[in-house]
Amino acid sequence: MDISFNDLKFIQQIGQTLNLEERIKLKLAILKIQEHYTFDEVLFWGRVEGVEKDYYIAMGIQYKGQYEFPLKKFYWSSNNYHFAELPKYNEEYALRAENLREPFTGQHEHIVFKTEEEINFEDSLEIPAQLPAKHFSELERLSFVVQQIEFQCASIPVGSYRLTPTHELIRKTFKGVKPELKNYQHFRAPIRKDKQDLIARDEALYKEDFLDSLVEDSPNQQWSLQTDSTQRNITLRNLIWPGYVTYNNDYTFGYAYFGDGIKNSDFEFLL
Amino acid sequence: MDVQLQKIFDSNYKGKTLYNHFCELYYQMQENKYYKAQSLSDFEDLSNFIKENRFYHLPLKTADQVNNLQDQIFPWQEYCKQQMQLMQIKAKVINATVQNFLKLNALLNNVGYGFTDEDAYLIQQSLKSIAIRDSNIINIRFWGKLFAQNRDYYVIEVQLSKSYKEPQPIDCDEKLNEYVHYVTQDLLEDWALLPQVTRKQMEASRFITYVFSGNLNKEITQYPIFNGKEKHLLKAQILRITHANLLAPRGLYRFDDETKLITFEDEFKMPESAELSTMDGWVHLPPNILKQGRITFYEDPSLKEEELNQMKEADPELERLKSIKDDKPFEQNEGNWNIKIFGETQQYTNQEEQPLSYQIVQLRNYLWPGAITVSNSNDFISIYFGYGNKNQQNSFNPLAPNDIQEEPEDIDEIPEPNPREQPDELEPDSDDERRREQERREAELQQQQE
Repeated sequence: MDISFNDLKFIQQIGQTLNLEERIKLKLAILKIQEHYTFDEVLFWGRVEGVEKDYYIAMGIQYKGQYEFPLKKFYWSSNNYHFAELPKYNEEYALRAENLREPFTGQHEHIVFKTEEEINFEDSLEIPAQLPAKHFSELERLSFVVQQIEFQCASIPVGSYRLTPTHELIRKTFKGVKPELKNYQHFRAPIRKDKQDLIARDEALYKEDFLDSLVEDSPNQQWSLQTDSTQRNITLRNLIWPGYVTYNNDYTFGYAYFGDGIKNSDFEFLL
Repeated sequence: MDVQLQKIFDSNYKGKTLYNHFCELYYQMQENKYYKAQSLSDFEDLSNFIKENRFYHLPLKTADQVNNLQDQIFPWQEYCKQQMQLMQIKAKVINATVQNFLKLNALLNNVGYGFTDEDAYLIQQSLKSIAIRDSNIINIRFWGKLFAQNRDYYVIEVQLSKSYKEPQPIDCDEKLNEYVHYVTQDLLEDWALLPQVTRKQMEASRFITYVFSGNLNKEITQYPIFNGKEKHLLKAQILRITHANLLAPRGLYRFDDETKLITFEDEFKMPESAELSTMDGWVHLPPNILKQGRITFYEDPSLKEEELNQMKEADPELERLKSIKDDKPFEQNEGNWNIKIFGETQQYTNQEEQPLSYQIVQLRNYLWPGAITVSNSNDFISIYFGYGNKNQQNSFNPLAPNDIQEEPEDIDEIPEPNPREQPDELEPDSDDERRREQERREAELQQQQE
């Protein structure tokens, strides 16, 4: 979501918003991110609610010079509104973290799992100068959850971006789409074979829907597409990660996450 | 012929002639290494591509536009009409306590929840329109928003005056259906009244986790069997959420033991903000719903006293206006409620040495995520935004069906009894039997003679 926060009215359809203090401080903090690393766009990604404090996530996107798909970098901050880069997470423990149902506490050093690795020095001739394995902290859990949501949910309307002949993504003047699920696609490097082929053959330059379509996500009912009374403001919500919203109307589009960072793993049973 | 062809070629559109376009097309077909145009099917794509990139593109008309040349209906007509109607709702006097949702929404926005001002205005008008509609209403408030698969539900809660008695469904006490709810899926459209819920439905809804589809008349196929459509389940869930989450500051209401009524306290002063920001300052307003699906315990006259006592202990009736501090704690937390403070936390004292505080307190329920109560030193509001399900800490486990009943034990077989007296003579059934009877009698006679 753009940091002018004009689009908050879409998020208010799910009853969430940012209060004045949050908006002012976030705007300043997100602009500061540009000091160290210049991105084409720095956007507000979302808010993950915790018990004591909340986490705010920002995303920087670099389009120019990126082949195939733009680079996304994530930044996090707690209630002190000071953004830092989101670290990498430990892969093995991360998968266990996906189905956790405990809420985030807000303390980023809070330990979620204790890693039980013992470093065996017997066989090696020299003791490697390695630190013992760190415990899986809440910050890593946050990092993993943000990456998962971005991968599984982040979506844009068809026709909003085009592929240039040098395989860079550029934003087009957006004119709105009809509220149907087939008019939305994932905002990630395509993983499905048909779209990858399309790009390899360069046919994607002439098509608007060259990224993975949402229609092929399974289960299909995880997407809930709703319009408001005017039929023009469309919000597309995900039910497996409740709190994620992609929105668009005739002038603008975007997406954001306002939730507690817990996946709804039972979703298939709830229909 | 030639002249005509020349004219066509020279026909101009935004500064480009058809002839130029053909030249361009031919050039691209030969030179463009990205687009290998080889056949007739590629021709139009390439032509469009060139047009787009040279900024004289005209999008093709859809079949609808060409075939159905209708009069242009102003697409926003319906919307404008409905909105105007809603805005003009007014009455001389409304004899009901209508919540000031417009003001309270601003309070919600300050803690990161709530609607846009425009939606809040529409909701306020809707509250008015329902209050005007039914003169039995004494209390009306906006309950919250329930999200669904296809279309969300906006819910308004209403309390009717005690003099108006509605017929209740069987074995349901009237307290259960005390709150009445109206529901709509679009704020500009009419509100529908949700039906009363029965005890069995309430009992069954405790075990169902379901994402509402958005269709009020949908059949619910879940286990345990729920006898009702989506509107009944919706009502049951709404009641459960209300009875668990509607809070009031301590001291606002008083429970009269004799008349069993809740009334306003005579001299009420909003508690200090220090007290409001702890769990001590809040109490539950509506009664607790028992596991049985009722408010007051039903004593089945056919059951023995022991069984009844056991059932009562498993399903106790809680006292009214209980502090939220005593709620069952959620997991490792100290209670069921998360309290956060927003806004200006600076303490002031005014001229009369009384503390002034502008801080805003937000209470969030862990068990029902999405249920919040927000308050500052003058107002408070309880509202719900969510999917209507409890926070399941364990993975979904379907309810096990009842044990299969075992076969009854076989009774032991005993031989047929032999009477002392010989039974009366009966006609033998067949020739064989006749012969056998004859032989048996002769054998007996012979024995007797010996």
